[in-house]
Amino acid sequence: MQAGGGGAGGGGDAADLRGRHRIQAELKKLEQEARFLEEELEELEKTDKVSSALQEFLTAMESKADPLLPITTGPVNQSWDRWFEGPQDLRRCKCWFL
Amino acid sequence: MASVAELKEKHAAATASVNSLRERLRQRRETLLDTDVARYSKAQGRPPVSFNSTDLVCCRTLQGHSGKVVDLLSLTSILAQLSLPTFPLVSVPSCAIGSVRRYQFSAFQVSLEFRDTIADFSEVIMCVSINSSNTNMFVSGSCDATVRLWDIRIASRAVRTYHGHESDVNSVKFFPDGHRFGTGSDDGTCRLFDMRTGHQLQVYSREANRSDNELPTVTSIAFSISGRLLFAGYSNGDCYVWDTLLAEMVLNLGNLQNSHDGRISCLGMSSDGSALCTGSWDKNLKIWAFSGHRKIV
Repeated sequence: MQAGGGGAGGGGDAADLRGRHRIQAELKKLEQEARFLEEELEELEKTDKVSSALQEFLTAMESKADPLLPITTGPVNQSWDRWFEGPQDLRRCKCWFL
Repeated sequence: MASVAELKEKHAAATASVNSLRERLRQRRETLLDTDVARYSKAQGRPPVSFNSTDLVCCRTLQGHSGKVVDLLSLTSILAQLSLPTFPLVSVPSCAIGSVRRYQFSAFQVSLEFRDTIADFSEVIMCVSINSSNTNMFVSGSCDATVRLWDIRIASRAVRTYHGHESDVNSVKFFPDGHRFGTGSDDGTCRLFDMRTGHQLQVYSREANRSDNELPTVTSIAFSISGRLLFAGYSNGDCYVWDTLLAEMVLNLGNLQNSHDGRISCLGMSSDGSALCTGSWDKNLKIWAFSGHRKIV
């Protein structure tokens, strides 16, 4: 198709052909993006306002125990305070971080 | 076959159509933003988090690096995925310029092998975060001021693009519930987004310094295990502890005793949420934990 396009270009030199292919590729990308944006717009028509999900957000957050907070829900885990003790076994001392 | 001039015309029309759709989307989103997390929490009478100066303390300093510490590897997430029986070989997205590449992590060899490119677009990707509730999903922050959600099962197309930031997105982290994520940017703000709806739930912005109008940029962020605290490292050496609900800064780890001498460049939370690790340009890592009186309600 590309070769055919080049032949049917009618006076188009190599630079012209390259330019045509580049514009065609960009055009395809833009058309695809427009389709995605239309889909998102359609979805958004059915989406609730921000406030509708916030109560659940607050409740879920507050029901989870957090060792770094001065006031938190339980249960308490004794290992939370291990950072203030010396290592029990130096050979097995390891800490993993996310 | 269309001529170049015709193609250019079509291109201009398509560009205009995309821009118009983007504007419509932006306007529609604005109408849905009836509140934000802070206004809602205040209206609900949520009390602020209050720290004494000795509540969060540096309990360990890890030395040994001969240069700046720039990132903390998420070892636990990789190891946790390895334990899943359905994933003998696990895909670990890794950051690269303009793409997110997938590597195979072998359970029998400590090695990563390049497999394929799963996200590819023209902007520089600064950071990624994998959703712990669904390891097929991850978000990326990039230099076009956007955050994109990717599903590794959908080839090379972002599931959603999140707008709001005004400059490079340097850090992105999933909220502990996996339904939201936080971001930190060169525009000096942190933001909280809802993954599903795309709503921007909150902006965490600091006031400009009186002597200098330029805001320090956000270099790294992390959430406490409940999500109530948002830790944010800034380019001027500050490390703010934000109350996620009320959007107020409750502590600055950068000002505390035994803090780093250089910029805090990376943050990580222990898997049980009991400690925060900070890495800095001063070549050290520090571990911070709660040493005050803990009230259980």
